[in-house]
Amino acid sequence: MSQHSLANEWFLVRRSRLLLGVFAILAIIMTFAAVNGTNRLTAHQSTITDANGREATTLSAIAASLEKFEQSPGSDVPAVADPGAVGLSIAAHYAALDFSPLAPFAVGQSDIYPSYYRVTATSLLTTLGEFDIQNPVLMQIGAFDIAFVVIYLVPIFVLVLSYNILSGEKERDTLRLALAQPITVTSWLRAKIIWRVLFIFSALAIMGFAALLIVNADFNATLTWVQFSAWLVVIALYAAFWFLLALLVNSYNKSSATNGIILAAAWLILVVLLPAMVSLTANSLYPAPSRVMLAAELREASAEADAKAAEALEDFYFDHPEFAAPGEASQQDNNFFLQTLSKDASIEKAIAPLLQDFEDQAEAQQNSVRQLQYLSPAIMTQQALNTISGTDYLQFQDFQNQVSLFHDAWSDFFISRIMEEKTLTSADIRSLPQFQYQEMAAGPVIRTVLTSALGLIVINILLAFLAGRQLRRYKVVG
Amino acid sequence: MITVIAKRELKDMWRDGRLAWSTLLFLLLFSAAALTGWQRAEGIAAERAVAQEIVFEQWLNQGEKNPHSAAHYGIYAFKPLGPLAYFDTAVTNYTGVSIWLEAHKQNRAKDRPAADMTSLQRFGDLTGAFVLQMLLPLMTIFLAFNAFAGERETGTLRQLMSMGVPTEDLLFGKALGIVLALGIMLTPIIVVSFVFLYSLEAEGVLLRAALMLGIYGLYAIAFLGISLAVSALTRSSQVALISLVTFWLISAFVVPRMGSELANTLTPLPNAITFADTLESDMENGLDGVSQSQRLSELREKTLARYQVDSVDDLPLNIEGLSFTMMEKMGDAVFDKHYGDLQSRFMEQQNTLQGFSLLSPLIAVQTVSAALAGTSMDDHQHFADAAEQFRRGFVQKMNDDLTFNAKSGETSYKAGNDLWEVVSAFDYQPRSLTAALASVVPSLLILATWVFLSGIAALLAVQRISKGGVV
Repeated sequence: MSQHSLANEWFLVRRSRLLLGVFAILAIIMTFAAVNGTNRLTAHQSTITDANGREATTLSAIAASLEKFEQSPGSDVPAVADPGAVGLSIAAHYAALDFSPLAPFAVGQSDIYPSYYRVTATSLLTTLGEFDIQNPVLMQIGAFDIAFVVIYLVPIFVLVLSYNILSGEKERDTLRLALAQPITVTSWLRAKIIWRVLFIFSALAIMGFAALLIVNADFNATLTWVQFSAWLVVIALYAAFWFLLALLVNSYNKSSATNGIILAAAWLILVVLLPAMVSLTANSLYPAPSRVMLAAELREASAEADAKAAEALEDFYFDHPEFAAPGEASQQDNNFFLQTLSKDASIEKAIAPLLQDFEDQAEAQQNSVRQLQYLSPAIMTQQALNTISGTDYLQFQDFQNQVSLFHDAWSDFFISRIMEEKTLTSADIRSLPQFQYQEMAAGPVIRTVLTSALGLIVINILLAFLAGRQLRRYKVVG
Repeated sequence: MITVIAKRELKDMWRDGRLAWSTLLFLLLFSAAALTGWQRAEGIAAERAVAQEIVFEQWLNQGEKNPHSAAHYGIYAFKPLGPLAYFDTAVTNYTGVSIWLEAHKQNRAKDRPAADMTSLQRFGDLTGAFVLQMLLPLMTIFLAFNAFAGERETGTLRQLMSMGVPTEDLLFGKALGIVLALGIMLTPIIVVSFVFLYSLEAEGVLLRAALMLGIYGLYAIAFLGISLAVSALTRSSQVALISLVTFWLISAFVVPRMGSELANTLTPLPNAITFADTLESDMENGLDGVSQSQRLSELREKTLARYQVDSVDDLPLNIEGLSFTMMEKMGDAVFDKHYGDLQSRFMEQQNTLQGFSLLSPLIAVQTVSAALAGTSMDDHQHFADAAEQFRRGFVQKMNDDLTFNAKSGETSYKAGNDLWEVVSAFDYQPRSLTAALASVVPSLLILATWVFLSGIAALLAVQRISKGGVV
């Protein structure tokens, strides 16, 4: 029945300069966004290469002078044989995050949280406190990435194509003509919608695929395809939301101008205002404790550790029973590095509850966003896209945990040698622990994406239901 | 004539409910933003002031120790939050709030508030400034899009022309009507804000707020000119509205992000690893190729010669103290060079971004507003510079004490409270208003150009009507 109208619509769609324009503009901005993503990834990769190079140079220099000493044992013990000096001030290992194939699609939180850490045997707090250099002005404005195009601009293109899907025909008086044919509003509408939906979906899919090519994603990796499929599903759901919203608004039989204004207002509220309001709510309900106060507390703890240096050292031995019994290593007590380490350990112990407060509040904030995200499809989409790209809070939290564990291994390597009063050998340098980035467990990722995607699905079903009900009452005349 | 037109325009806007709805939405959003913003800012500002006092107390009560150890212990500088920071947070969430001031090192500001917020922060900070920057132009468009196009559709434009109403009068009358409408919309917010700011009794805040009001006024007028011009040139009010909203969308969302990306690409920043390593190696090897160890031995020789003694033990001063002073001087030169270079890269990026304000008045307004609120990147830099000067000052005092009050090799030398009290508390004075304004002259000029050109565009557009163009 609707074959004829489908064909007819396709004819119209093909000839539409509007569609051509939408496609061209979308292609240009998607390309720009993809190029930006590539630049960002390249910069990250060159930083890591640079860091690895520096590390290799330092380590091979240390190994070389140790080897020289090992070959002529009579010579002076080199300074780099001291595990304290090497572990606390000379050697460092760069632990880097392997960005996932779709990372260039969404900057997410990757400009705020570090994607590499310089791990030394000094305190974990120092290691995790570092962050890369960024221009705050540009950070505040935000990136022009594919996620931005999808969240902010794709709805506009969808609305341009659909804001007058019924009202336009009605105003041109073609609707009455069309419906004089033996078809129903719904079937005629289906034809109209199908072409538009197909157009925008295939346009997005083509451009998404082109973006994959531009960012040079690894097509042999399964993860690339898994992430890309998830990405396609989410943007399809998001685009569908705006289609359905346009349809619902059109079903109320208002003029194109009114529909346009209502839909523009909906965009403003859902994409611009609500996310900012939800963010404000999360920040106000669960404000992070004060970092400034933490800094002050840290100093208090460090003064305390200084005052009770002997006690701190004893505690340190107590925490490392594998090396020495408390009070036994008297000649070691004067070791500067051991004192530093023991003070750091007692500081960390003192402020652990404060750091826990930060984590708890961050958790509470994330939870409130998880619940409030259903207020706006833009929020759901942002959450899902960041998670798919692996540039969300979860991912960086996981990376930080991995680095913490690695830091333990790395510093234990040196601490054990300091406590056992061993000197470093060239073999030691060659057998230093290496950071192996582990892909984050799929469970939480899937759960996050699914929660957001299901939210979109439910809202879409609701909109479709409402629009369908309203359309059955649609009056072509009057 | 102008006032008659203005009155009628106002009446129309009131009648179709546009004005009432806009006012209500605006009022709600602005109050929500301002109230929560203020409530949070107040807590943060108080906390920082208290923390600054605490760290100074810690400094004073650090007990007896070697002055150089005290310099290593150091002091923290916390960035205070001005009374207008809650209105326009600008870069506040992306710049660090604390700087550790210690011997030998200029540290970067750390603890960026955005790291303790969720990813929704990236949708923007719902502040008074955000509401004005995003919605004021939209409201202006909404009130003005059908000023001419609407009359044209109903045929009244032809009538007005045939009655011999001068087109300039028509333009000014309509503009006046819309300005009055915007005035009605904003008056409650303005009055409450000013009464509130007055009650704060903070110095210079009212003047800054008044200037801000002026800037946002110009911003609205630029959009008014553009809206009237487009309305006069388009056949239907629908087309006028679509074109204007598209312009708003591009200028508010697309252009700034484009500028941001291009600035990043054109002027790449060093990564933190390279930056830190370069600092370290330049400290060791010296900027002029004379290494630190070479300089230290030269210093030793020179000092021995000056006091005509053979051993440092015979010197009337402490050679370590003198060496520390020299190392600080070398360090200062290295920091000035590399932090200066980083700073100029930031500036270059911001200039690229500024270039884009020729396409988007929003960028210009954001720059000026942040400077007036004391939350711009320049303000942050001013704070970091002041903290660095303070660091150099107190480290010098510590090293001087060691130099002149201890003997060389006297490792047991200790100073106490008397010396710690010589250092006064870090009392940061924010940038003056004049300095703030001087730093945004280009943005002010660009904003003025927008106002001027949009006015001209509106005039030319209505002249086309009187010449029998699109009526």
